[in-house]
Amino acid sequence: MSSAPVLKVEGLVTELRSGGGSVRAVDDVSFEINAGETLGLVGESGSGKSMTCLSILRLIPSSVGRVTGGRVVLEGTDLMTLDEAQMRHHRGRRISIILQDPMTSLNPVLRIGDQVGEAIKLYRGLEGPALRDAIVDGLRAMRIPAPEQRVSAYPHELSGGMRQRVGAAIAMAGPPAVLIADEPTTALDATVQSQLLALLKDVQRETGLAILFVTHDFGIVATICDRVAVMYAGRIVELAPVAELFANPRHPYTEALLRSVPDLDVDVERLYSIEGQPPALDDLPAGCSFAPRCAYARDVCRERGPPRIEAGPLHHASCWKLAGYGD
Amino acid sequence: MLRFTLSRLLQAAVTLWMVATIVFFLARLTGDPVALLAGENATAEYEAEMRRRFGLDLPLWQQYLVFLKQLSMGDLGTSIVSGEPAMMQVLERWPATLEIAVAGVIITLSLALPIGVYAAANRGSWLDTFARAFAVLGQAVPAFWVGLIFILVFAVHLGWLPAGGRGTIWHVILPAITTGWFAVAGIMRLTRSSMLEVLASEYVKLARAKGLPARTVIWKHAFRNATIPVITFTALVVLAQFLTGSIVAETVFSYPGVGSLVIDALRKRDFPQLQAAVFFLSMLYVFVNLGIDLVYGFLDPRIRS
Amino acid sequence: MALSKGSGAPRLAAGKGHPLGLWHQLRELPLVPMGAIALLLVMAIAAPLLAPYPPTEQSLLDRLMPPFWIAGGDLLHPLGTDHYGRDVLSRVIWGARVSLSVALVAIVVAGAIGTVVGIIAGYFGGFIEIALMRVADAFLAIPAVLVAIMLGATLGPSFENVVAVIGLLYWPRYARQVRGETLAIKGSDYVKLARVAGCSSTRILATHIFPNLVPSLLVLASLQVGAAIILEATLSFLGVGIPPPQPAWGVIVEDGRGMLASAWWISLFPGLAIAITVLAFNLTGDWIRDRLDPKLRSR
Repeated sequence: MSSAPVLKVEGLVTELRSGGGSVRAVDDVSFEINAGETLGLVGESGSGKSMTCLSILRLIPSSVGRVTGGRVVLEGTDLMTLDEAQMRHHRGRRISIILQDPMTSLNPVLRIGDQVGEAIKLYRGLEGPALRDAIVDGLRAMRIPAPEQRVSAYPHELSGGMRQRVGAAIAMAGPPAVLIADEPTTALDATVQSQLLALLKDVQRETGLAILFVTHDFGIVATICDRVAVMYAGRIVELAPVAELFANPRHPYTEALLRSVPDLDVDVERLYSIEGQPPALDDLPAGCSFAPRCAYARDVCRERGPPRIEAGPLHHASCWKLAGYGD
Repeated sequence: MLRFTLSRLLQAAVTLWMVATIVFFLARLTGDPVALLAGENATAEYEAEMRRRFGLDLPLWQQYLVFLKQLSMGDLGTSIVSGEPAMMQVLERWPATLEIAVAGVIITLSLALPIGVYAAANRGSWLDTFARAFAVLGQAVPAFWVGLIFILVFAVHLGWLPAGGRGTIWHVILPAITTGWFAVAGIMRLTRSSMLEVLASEYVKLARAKGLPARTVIWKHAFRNATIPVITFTALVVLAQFLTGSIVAETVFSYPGVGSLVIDALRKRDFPQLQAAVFFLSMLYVFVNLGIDLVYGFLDPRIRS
Repeated sequence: MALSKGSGAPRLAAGKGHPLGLWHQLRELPLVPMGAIALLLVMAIAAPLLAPYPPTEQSLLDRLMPPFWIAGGDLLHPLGTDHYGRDVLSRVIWGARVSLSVALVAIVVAGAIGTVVGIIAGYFGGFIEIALMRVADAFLAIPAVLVAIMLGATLGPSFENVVAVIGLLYWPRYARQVRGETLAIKGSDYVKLARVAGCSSTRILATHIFPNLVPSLLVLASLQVGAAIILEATLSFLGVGIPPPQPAWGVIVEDGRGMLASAWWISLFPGLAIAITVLAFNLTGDWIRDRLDPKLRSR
């Protein structure tokens, strides 16, 4: 396989403003995704999943924070070196996003056709009847019934599932090489959720799309992902192929997560079986962030950051325990 | 909707009646207009004649009923000073007031909206700081004084604009800005905060993620949503500031509108004229209020119940 | 060892942080506006001591003197004189007394009427509530400035009338807010308990309900002082407020209006005084609101 990964993230660091100083919401995050592959990004709320997505797209508002380090290489281009106009050229066209809440992610005062159409027009330069046909085709490709009528509808006239399909139609307008799906099914009920997942899988099969799928639901991970990255306090603590991770979790956090999910459908969001709270970003412990909650923690864990250990083919985890506590 | 409309109409009618009643009794409370008008060395016969002519010899409650009856026919009495129907003066001067109000709304919106939008889009910039300072300062400075400062700067020192009177479009500018003074500050502040809210929304995030230029994101996606609350506020401001605020601006700039008519009549103690002008402005106020209520009710079903 | 250090540290920091926290709170106080208000109050109270001249003393020899830094000016009249030779600085200082007392008394009047009406409406409910609130609504729908002009025109300009006008215009807002809060407090458990314990209505109102209304009354009042000062000045300027020659700021501005081109200082300084005063009260009001009632923050 000579093909390079479509998206390669290396050492990404994002700092957010907090009081007088700053906190690292994304801390040295690295991963890559190949064409036709889906990488899951899993973690509790506030672990830095969404910030990672926005950082890749360079959409962190300057009043909130900024990316301070690392590279994001999309199809051979490092996005972090581009100026704003060049970056805009990639956004949506080559790398797009589906946001979490379909009720708020569409503009309430613009018609569906307009919102899909402005993307198609921007990426493909279509006008007039050709644009209209492309909009209808785009909606139809996302299995939206009666797309000719939907074009002139407003968002509030559609159900949540339909709106998320419109969101998918916008995201696929490029069509892009990479799709970031930021918990796109969290706000949907189970049936609609599985329909949307099936849709994304089919689209991926047809187009060779690379997907970064953010979720806190291991059920979804099992359904759609090829590999999974587990995030904790802004860092990726373990990354492995799905089957390998479920069968052989190496990081104590992953282990605890999986143990607390007897049934894969249970949300990680409601995790009571791990003692303690995820740490506040402005008050991170020295050493391993997970140490205060970790059953295996020893002194070294509280003093120095853990090393990254290769735990198998395509499988790594950052933990002192795996390194024999540095002995 | 019909029930809502009817109840609002009834409310407006009651308010108008209250205004009319207050206006009537206040006017009658103030001593004797005839004595003032006839002068100190007028004969008793002459005074009695005047009293009969203006219906001031009847008992108060009869005067009130006559007043209401005439009012319902659009007759607000005769100006004691000019001897003409009081309503005629009001209608003659009304275009001047409308002129200033319309110019005031246009100037206000064309200043407040763009500055509010740019301040929000460039949060923390010098323009944002300026806009916020202006909004706070603007609400602390009384309009009549601003008008005088405008005259001092733009008419006396720079000589760019006339200091008062009516005639050309240049005469309209300073009174219009003075009338809209508070409104500019308020609308700017509201536009800014409304834009900030919208700019933080998910659909604006998506618009950015689509790769749209900042211009399109701000004006097509954010501005339209941000203006919804601003428009309703503007309507209210037009109501409160421009109709009654015209009194201040027209007085400062000697602009011959209904507002300065109120003050003229007040100084000359021409009560029928004062009544007519005040009642006319109140009527406008109540009607615009009614209109806004009805539009709200139409836009937002929750308000109707 | 390491464990105890880790868990002990935050508590230690919090304990040490107490004086720091106080300093932080002090720093958050709107010191400049509050200082300005203090200064204005001093001016208002000590006007006879501070003002170099009586505010209405005319001196025809010193007519239309400019402020001291302009040729022809004199430090004897730092801010110049008007067309009767009255000292502008003295009039502005006395003006603080007039304008502040009108605004504060009017707010108290409005607050008193509004509180009584609001408590009665909220506590007793039923027909009384509907009737009182309808009246309040009607007052809100009446064009305020016009009524003020009619009142001023008919009753004649005087201190009492301005207070009455502003009081009458402002009370419905207090009534509405007090009614709402009274309803909420009335439904609370401790008021129910007090009633079960046999407390009289008067006692419940005085000891349980009224004290709970005070913070929001303060917030509303502090936010309205600035607007009341502007309304008083506007009415005085139009000739239906404080009667000349009393030195209300609006009156002084009107005095100088005819001589704007030649003697701008007469109108300029009282206007600045209004602006500074209103600004100080508004900023302080905003701060009090943010402190006492965060709910009101997004108006």
